[in-house]
Amino acid sequence: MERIELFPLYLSLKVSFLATLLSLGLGLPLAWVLAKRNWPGKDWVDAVFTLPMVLPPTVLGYYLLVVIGRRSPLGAFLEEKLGVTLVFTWPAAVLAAAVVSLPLLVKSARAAFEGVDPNLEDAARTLGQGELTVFFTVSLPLAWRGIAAGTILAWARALGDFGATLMVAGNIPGQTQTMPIAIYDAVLAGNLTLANTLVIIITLLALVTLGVLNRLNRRVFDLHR
Amino acid sequence: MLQVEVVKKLTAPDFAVQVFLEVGNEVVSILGPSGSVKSLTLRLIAGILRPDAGRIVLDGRVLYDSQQGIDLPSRQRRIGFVFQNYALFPHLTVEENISYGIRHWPGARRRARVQELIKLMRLAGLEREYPARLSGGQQQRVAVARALAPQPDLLLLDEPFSALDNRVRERLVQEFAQLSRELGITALLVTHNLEEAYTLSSRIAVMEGGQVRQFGSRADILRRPCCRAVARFTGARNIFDGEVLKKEGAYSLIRGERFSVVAPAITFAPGEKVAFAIRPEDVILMKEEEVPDKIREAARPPDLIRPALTPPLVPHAWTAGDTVDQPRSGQKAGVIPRPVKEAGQDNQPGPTPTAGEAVESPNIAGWPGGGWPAGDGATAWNQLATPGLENIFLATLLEERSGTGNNILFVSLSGPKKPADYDLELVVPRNIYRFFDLAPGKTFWLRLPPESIWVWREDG
Repeated sequence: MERIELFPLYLSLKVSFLATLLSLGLGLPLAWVLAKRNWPGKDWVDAVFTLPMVLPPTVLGYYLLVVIGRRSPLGAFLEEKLGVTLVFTWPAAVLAAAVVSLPLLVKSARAAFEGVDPNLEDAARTLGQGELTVFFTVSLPLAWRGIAAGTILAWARALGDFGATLMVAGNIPGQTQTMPIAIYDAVLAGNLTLANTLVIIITLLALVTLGVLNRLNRRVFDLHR
Repeated sequence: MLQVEVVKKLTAPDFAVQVFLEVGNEVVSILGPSGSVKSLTLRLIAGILRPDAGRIVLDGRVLYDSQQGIDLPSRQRRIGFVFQNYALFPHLTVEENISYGIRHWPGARRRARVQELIKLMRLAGLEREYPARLSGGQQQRVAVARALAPQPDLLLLDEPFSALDNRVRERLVQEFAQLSRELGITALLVTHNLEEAYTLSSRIAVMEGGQVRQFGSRADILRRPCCRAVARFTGARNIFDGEVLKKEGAYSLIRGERFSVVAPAITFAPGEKVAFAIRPEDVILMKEEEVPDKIREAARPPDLIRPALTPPLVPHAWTAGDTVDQPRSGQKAGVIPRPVKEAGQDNQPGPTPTAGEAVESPNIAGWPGGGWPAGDGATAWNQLATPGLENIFLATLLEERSGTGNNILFVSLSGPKKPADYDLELVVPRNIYRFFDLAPGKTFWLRLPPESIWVWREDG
């Protein structure tokens, strides 16, 4: 019985961690490009990537189904050529969690990059450094607190997703049953002990997260800036 | 050697920036009021901003050429840049800031260079500090050190002293002047402060409204401005419109709105509209005994006195009108007072004088007794074009202000009137002011030396 109880915790941690990595990989470059450059269609791209914050999770899940479901072009292709089905597997949960958490990361990271005095980056360029060096030696070190805060928010959102995950990954115990879904399931089944346990674990996680965020935010206003 | 010819169209404010500059192995200042996009010019040269078209060549290397499609990124231009807010990396120490541009140098050489700069810029003991803990002056010195570390071909400085308070600024300006001389730096400096530009550079480019209005030596900018914009900005505060009346040898005669002056020889022809200016500090106060009797007496009424030119020039006598008499043989140069036309007064000219004869001035109700004649643009011609005695006027002090070590006087050349309607602004050292024992309302003699009068024609 113990193992079944802990599985949603283990799954949630795994899914949220991977989803956050995915968000970072996509979100950081996007945030930088939104912060530092102007290009036609920029506002539209910004709007599209903000949508997941505004749309209901079940709607997001629906769109995801449309894109990767077995009857979609992508889903069909994957199934035929690679024998892979995404829906109702834990990778789908990762995808769902990533989609809902990406906007949070992008917004925070973009603000962080915009907060770096452009003169500093220009100075670095006149001092002979290439764009990548400028990014890693100037932009990133000065923006990391904002990015870290954004990452933590993204992770928290990924951890707590219910609607989108349920739509594309389903509620398969031992396979795709993340903690929020497990709690829902436990309440439905009347298993209040299980529900309480899971709820307390998530609440503790949330409190720790808040604590870390606070410390990060406080340091943002120090003399470094 | 830097050659710049670039244009850039701006949207807000809406004008085009056009810069044509050449900088040799020297320090050149770009001087101009705020909003004349001086900083933008530096950024165009550094590669931080891209021009619309043009060419930038530094020491024979083409940095930018719109026709050939060349646009080197900043990192390849070998240009050092000192920003107005210094742009020091807040997360790096002073040492790390300075060595940022030479991080790829071998360790020993890099450390040696950093040490050299720390000594040069008087930063010893601050190596491990973070920029936030430094004073403004220290930050500025770190910024300069950092820019100099990679030994750039050109140093650009964007108002590097404007964020400092006066005492610190003066000291740093002096230091930088000395440093640039010692190191032989080629630099382009942007400032709105005339004194800074004058102290630091051999040549000054005055920019206004996105254009370089005048680019020349310090003396040229100060004493031979090309146009009102430059003249005003460099403190030539007595600027007048005028018309060339006469040219003769080494002199010319310019009639201004309120008074006329004898100026040095100019290339403009009689009848041309010109502008002329004299710097407030070039006006000379004269003691009463220095002023020739003839002028002193003739100036009592607000009179038209014709200037006479001494040998070797042909002696002419100008009439009260704007025409010039033909020389009459045997006529000697002299001063001939003539009554001024006044409303209702008899317009007969006075007796025709013979050479050398002193004529009694008619008793005109004029200064200092009564009021001044309400001449419609009647100019007080009070000139004797004798070297050293040209352009002597009797001035009334309207208002006086104290400057640092000097007094600023606002005077009228046509009798007492409202201070706001002054004719001339003078700057005299305090001791001179005291010597003359002046006060508002008092009169005194002054002289505008022709060599200090600069005449030019506005080009639209």
